[in-house]
Amino acid sequence: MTGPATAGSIEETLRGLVVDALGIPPQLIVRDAAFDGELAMDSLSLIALQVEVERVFGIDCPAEEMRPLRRFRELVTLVEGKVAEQR
Amino acid sequence: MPVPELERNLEPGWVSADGRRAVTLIANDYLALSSDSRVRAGARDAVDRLGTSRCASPPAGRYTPVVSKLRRQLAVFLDRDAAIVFSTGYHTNVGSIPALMQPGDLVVCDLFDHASIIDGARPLGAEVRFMRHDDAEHLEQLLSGARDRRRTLVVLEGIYSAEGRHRAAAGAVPGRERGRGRSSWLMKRTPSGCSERGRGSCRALRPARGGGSDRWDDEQVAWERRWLRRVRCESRRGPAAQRAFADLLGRPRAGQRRRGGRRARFVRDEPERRERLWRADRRRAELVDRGFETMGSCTTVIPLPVGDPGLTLALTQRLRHAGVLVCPAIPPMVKSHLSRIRMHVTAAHGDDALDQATEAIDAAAAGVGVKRVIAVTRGRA
Repeated sequence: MTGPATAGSIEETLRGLVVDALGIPPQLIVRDAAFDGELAMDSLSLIALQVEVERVFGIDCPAEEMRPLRRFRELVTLVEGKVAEQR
Repeated sequence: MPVPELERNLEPGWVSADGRRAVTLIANDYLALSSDSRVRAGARDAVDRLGTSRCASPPAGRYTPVVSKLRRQLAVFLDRDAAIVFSTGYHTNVGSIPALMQPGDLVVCDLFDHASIIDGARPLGAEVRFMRHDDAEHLEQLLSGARDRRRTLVVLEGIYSAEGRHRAAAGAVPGRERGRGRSSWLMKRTPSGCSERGRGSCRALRPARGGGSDRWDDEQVAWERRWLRRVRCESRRGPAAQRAFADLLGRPRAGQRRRGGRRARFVRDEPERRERLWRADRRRAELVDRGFETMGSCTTVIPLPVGDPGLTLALTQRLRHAGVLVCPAIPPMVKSHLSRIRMHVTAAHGDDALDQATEAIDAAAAGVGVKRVIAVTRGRA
């Protein structure tokens, strides 16, 4: 499966995935939002997000790469890089 | 929140907690066998004759005659050459998955698989990947990317215990797998022995509202047999641990490969146990009628979503004070916003116990502000 390609659409898609994984309003997910802070990401939600990121963008995004991410923007950067590599 | 100390079992379905009588909706004792007088007498007799333990692992201390007999009887019951007994379902998954897999292999788990499955898969050095819950299409996608793996194990559950639902999409998987000709296996874990023949297999659930059919069951039974054959075949090529596992699975006994086989004695002779178990349907309907969600449960495991871990614990505590014990499901067991309480209706519960539980849930949920799906339209005490 191939996901969105442009930087803006990748960020919006990721925002939607984080909303689904965490069950929180989209307006909370600003670029600097911290996974272990205001987003309160737990381990199960992280795995759920990883599964969705891989499925939607058609990339490999192992948990080892997701776990160190602290902020939403870091996730965007990681996924943008992987999508670009894939092209 | 402190875990309540249960002082003693008063009668089936009830316990004494905090010095008072309470309905317990946390037990996995679906057919109420743990309190059966014959079971208790058998346990007493075994302790009198054999003591409480070998105090050694089976390879060193061997099995007691009682456990050996149980293994033989289970093997006959399941039409296999041999069977092994683990002390808990948790140990079954932690013990069996590593026996099948090696570093470099791939284990695919459903996102809602029980923690014991994940714990069984992770220490192997095998890669563990997750599929979306009950999504055969995503599973297919993951398997497509794993063609270079020597071995792939797909681990799904018979009943997803956090939701009380059985799998649906996985019914589509066997056919696809068969067409691929790869060594991908499906292992199922079914928590209760409440099936038609007491085997806890795919017949654990009656074909019912929106889930399953007789035909689906037939296909599943046939596929499971093929799966077991495949596991045995693959395992015998592998190292000793895998061969041992193959021996555990065993071959169907000659002349007993007919579908159905034997029924557990208690299922054959005491059908009322299963009938009592399914009073859960009425209770679930009553909770729905009062405006609660039950997350699509169609089994005797009934979840009630609360949506917040703190609120879930508060509801659990209120219920405990009202004489009803339920299981709080909060992170990391479930995602935070999907926090819930979970109740197990068993054959031990009489109408009085379930009536008390329903009324207590209604009142406690109102007390802590659990949202309901619809407005309550009927007057209630």
